[in-house]
Amino acid sequence: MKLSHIFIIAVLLAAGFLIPAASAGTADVTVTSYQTDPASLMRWDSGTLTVTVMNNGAESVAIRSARLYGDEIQVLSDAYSSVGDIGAGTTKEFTFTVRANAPDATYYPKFVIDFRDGGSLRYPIPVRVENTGLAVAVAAKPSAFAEGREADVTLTIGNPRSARVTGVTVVPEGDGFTSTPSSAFVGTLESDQAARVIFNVTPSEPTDIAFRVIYRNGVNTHETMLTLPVAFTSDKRSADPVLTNIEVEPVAGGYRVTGDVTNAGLESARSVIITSGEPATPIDPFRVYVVGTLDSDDFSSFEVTFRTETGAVEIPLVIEYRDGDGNVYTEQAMVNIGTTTVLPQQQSEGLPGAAIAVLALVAVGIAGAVIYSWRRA
Amino acid sequence: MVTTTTKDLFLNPRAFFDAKKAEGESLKVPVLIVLAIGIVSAISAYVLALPFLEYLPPEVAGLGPVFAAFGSVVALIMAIVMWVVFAGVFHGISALLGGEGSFKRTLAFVGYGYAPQVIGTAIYVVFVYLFMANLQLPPASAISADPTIFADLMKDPLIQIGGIISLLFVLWSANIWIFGVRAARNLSLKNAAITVGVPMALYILYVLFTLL
Repeated sequence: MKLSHIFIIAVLLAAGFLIPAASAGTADVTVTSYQTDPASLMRWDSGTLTVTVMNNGAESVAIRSARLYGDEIQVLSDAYSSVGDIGAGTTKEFTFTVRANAPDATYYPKFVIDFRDGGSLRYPIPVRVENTGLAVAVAAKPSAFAEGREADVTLTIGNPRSARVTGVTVVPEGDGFTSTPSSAFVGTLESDQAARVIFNVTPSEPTDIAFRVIYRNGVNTHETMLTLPVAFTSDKRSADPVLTNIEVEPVAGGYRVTGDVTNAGLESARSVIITSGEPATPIDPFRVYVVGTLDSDDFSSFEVTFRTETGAVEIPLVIEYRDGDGNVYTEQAMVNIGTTTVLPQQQSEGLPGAAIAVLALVAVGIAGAVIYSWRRA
Repeated sequence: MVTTTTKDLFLNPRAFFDAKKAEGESLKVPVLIVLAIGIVSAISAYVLALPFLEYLPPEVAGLGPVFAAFGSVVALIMAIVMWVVFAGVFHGISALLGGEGSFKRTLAFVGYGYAPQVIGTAIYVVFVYLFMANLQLPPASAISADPTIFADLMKDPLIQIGGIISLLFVLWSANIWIFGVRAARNLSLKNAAITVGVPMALYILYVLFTLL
């Protein structure tokens, strides 16, 4: 036998002994689980990918390095360069920091383990990227907004994503309104779950209320906006006090206005009070007339007294009332006093008496003078 | 020559006019008395007109003081006119009753008889001023809508009492006029009383009707 043949046979025999031994070591190492945190990434999100490897063999396996490769899923952390051995029947976790650089899809970055004794393990790890944000909707709002009137606005925040989001917070933003609460914390929102948030807003002017929904996907913060236009319109159901049967008559030093106030609206008017407005000045005995609660289609009589400056033709009667939530409303109804003469106000009880006394003295004096003149005649 | 005093005019008019009859006819003092009434009336008319100037239309609002002054002049003239009218009425009625004498003397003696009304007019003006001080005037639209508003204002107790006081002084004047007409027209006291009493009764009834 030639020496070269002997060498080839020796190599083959060596391979026959060695290769099965090495194959037996690497074949027992498998990827048992993997997990991304967060479970679903949005584009440009950062997260972690943890791969768990188990040695199912009877002997430990030496690992040279562990790496993760990917294009759409960018690996931000370094490879594991000195891993050591994985003992028989034990597991080892490899965690990589990744960032999603791609649109919605499921991507498969490759997890690679190089064995010290040769060979390697390649395992594609699925990573899901979805950009769907939280869904925000107005679930309930009043039929009309009014200046200074409190109104409840109910928002529904839904999570259409395949994974949970955390730290969900809703903040109303904008000018021309106040809100209670100033922000609402929802917390964790599981996949396909929804939460309701109620804000009590009081607009002072027509405005837009921007509801900013802030949430976290892992360590990444995201926002969703919902804009609610607030325009002042008349409430079709609100109370509507109407003055009828108005009569104006002069009193000492001013006027007395009597009439009926009727609630022509569909809701009750509470704490109804009626008084006179500028340029009139309320005077006793009825500076303010308290009507109280007027239900729909209910009416009540009222009476107010006031004085005005010379020349006033019309004066406003001011009707103030509240709704069931305590919001204050003010309406004015003009009353014409142009054809009514004001009687002079008696300054005191003594003035007519003094005038009568003067009259009596003059009468007595003149009568005396006349009688005296005739006696002398 | 018998001297007369103002006191006689008020308390003993018969003696006053008998003495005046002996003197020459002169209108100097009667004119002054009537002018005094006229001036007081003119001043009060001007002062009382001022609050009502705001009712003037805007296009003539600037002429308000002119109108007020015109009213004052009218008040002054009316005092003189009423003097002449009363004297003329008394002169005419006394002529029917056989009276004799010049109209100038009748005019002079009636003028003297106006003396108490100087006081009466002044007191009336004070009452009207007190009334106006506490009055809220109605707006201009009310005046146009209801022209009787001012008539209603005159129903105020102060105005009525002032008017009655003024009327009492007119009665006093009438009493003096009886003796004045008697002397000026050579009438009996009875005929003089009729001469003065009949028109004055009508006049006083008219005033009371408008006042009350």
